[in-house]
Amino acid sequence: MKITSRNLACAALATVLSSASVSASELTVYTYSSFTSSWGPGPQLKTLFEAQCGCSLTYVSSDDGVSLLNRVRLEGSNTRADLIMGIDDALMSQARELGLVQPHGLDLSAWPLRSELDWKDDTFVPFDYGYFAFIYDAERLTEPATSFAELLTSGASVIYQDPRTSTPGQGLMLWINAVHGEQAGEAWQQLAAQTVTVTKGWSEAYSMFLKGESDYVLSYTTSPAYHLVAEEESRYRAAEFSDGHVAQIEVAALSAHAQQVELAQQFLQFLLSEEAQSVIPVTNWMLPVRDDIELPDAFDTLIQPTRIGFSPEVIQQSRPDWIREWRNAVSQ
Amino acid sequence: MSGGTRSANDSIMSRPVLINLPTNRTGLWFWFWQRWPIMLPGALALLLMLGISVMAFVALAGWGDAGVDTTLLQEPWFWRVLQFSIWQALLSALLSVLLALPVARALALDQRLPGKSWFLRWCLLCFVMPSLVLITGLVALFGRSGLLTPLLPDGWNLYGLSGILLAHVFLNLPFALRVFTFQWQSIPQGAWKMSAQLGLSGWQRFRLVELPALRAVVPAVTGFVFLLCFNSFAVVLALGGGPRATTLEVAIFQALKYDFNPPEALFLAWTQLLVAGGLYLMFSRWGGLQWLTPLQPDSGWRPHLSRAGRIGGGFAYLLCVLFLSLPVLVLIPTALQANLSAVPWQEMLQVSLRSVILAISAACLALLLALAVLSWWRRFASPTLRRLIETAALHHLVIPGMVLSVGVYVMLMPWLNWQEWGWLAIILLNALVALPFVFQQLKPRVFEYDANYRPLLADLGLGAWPHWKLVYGPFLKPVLQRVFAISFVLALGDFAIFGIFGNDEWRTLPWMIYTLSGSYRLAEAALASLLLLMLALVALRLLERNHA
Repeated sequence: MKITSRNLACAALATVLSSASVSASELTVYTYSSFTSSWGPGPQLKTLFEAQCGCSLTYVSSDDGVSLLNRVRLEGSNTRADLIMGIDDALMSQARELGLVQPHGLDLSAWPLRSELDWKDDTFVPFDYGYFAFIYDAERLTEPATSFAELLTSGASVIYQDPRTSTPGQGLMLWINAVHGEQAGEAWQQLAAQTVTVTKGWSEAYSMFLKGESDYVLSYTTSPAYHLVAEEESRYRAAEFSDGHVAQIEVAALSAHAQQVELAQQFLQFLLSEEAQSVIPVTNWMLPVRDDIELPDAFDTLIQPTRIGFSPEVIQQSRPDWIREWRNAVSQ
Repeated sequence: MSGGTRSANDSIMSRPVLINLPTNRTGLWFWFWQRWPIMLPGALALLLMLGISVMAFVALAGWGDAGVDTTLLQEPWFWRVLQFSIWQALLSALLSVLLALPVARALALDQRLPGKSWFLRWCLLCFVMPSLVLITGLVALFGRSGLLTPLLPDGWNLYGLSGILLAHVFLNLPFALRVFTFQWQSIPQGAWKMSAQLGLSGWQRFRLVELPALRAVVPAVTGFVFLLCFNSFAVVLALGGGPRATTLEVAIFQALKYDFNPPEALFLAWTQLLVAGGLYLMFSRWGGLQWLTPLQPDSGWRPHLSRAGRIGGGFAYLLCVLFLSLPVLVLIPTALQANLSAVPWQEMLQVSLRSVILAISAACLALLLALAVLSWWRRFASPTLRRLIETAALHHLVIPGMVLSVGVYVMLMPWLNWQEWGWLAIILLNALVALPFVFQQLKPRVFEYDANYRPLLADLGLGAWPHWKLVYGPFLKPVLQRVFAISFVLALGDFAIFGIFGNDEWRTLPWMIYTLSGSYRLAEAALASLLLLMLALVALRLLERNHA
């Protein structure tokens, strides 16, 4: 009796203190938490994939793409991840350099990927993409800015995300550097004068904007589609800048320490399948990477920006300097 | 009595005999060999405590995988962070002290003020209140859609310096209040009577009778509150509002967790250590502070207060009561707005259970460590040795918890998977952070015990366990319960250490509250805050019961 109750207590303690263990035909996918939330694409993709693989799929989620990468890095060879899903093109080089991923071994030309992505990577598989943009409320703002210069002289209030913790924040950093080059520091300072707050993640920023705390919020060109489809609301729009927009391509890759390489490869192929690609746009509110996916009409009303930006290698090299420039400019 | 020549037997185990160490080396070894069963716990405790600090310092010295990034010295950002850290701590300390003075005077001198002992007990809770409970309350009151926000001037923004100051004053004003009230009360009746007989005016009485009593504690309280605010983490992270209001403590966390940049984190940790540790050593010379003792009964003769003085004091008291209760009371209506079916009950329960297990483990470990170290302390006669042991037990006061955490984290990173073993570090470091407090509370009691009962017990010849169970344990029990309760509450509210060693999947109650309010689920955050507060209250009930 005594022994049983002690065992029970130990078992309870173990469940409370640690996470579940891994079984043989289980695929573990590390991703970010809004992907796996009940309204995100995670649950639907899990059902679809489990129906065809005869395995069980487990998500392990971090707050966002950046902390996802940090987590895999910390776990090193002890990681339980078979697949890492949800870092973006800006973090690719870092993940590769740290030896966290391995080549996918797939021939990507077998899928009708959008030509504008021009994707040739042997390690990372893209699963959705979008362009960063400032979203505004057309009922409050009748003449939105048409370029960065206009935004920075308009005096309109802005909410954006911390480039160290959030992938949209990082995207803004790339965008500002792509448009302003040497003058990026001054642009940040101008922006700081109009900034309501810098949030840790996307959802905090976006919900503050929806509560009317600012004129603009940094998000994606696809955000208005969500309001159109889910709420039949057309007041939220993306401001198109003549400078061009930076894209975010979300990618998945095999973990360097994957236990289930074949299952993970199968999942990567599944991510590019028509059914998965049709789920992602209306749950993750990003664009599909295939060019043959039928989208709700709302997607036709979105702006079609020109793509600008840097290669992952340049980003990897300049990121620390850009972060420094940002924090020195905005802490004044 | 010299223990050096005794042979090992039961009586050494049981009797707390003062020991003079043998002087030659062989003698020392032999002496130690004979007594290892009683000396072992103390040795292990000291080894652990010092080992962790040494490890942290080795990492700080750049001997781990990562060097120290000194290029930050050239960055204006670094200097702005340092400047802001000092500025907010200074303002918080001055505000807390200045606001506490009139209220403390009213509490000590105005015998007609209602609810005083309740209020002072509430103050004790405020001082150890988990910051996240308070933060949720402040957001519900003064946040963007807060209850009181419409009354505030346009352009009010909780996030930034104003929020940081509100929270810091809430947490530290009660501490200052308690110390000042006891100080005012400790002015002897004779002094008051004398001043009345001499017909001193209010100002003269203040200058000649009250000021000398306060002069001893005001600088020490200001210094102490400054340090607490300088080392404050949760408040600044949650209410700081972006890069413009960042302190060193938060910058360390961000360097490690946001940027994954150990060299930068180490440099910032050094700065934190030098400033906070240096100031602590300076302030600690100004003397100790009484804050845990309960209010003395109001029986003595007190001077007659002028009508204006009484009304002013009563008004200050009322404002203070409102300020210290509203942020907590507002949690109740806020929590009631929660959509009960959307509340993640199961997760909340699991998270609470985890928090309680971690906090109990940390509090137990802190107590065991303190007792083990005291078992050494009481056996040595030499004052130098005793002082050395005390220094070992108290030195964590000088090292901020964040610095210790970062050091240990970076040092063991190559060998230990923190995703898996973080919980161990969380228990250990929370225990070490509570240890100085536990040690200081237990020491006088142990001293008293040895002074009164040692000779008596030496003749009794009890075995080690009966001695502990029948005599020593029961004697220490009230203090043990009290320090356990406070260490438990401190560990329960821990935010910084978990911030370093914890992870997204595996939250404690304070981090769950932080995440909930971050995603604008304020009602659920308020619910979780109330839960955390309840747990803290239950623990503190233990304390108060044994105090009465």
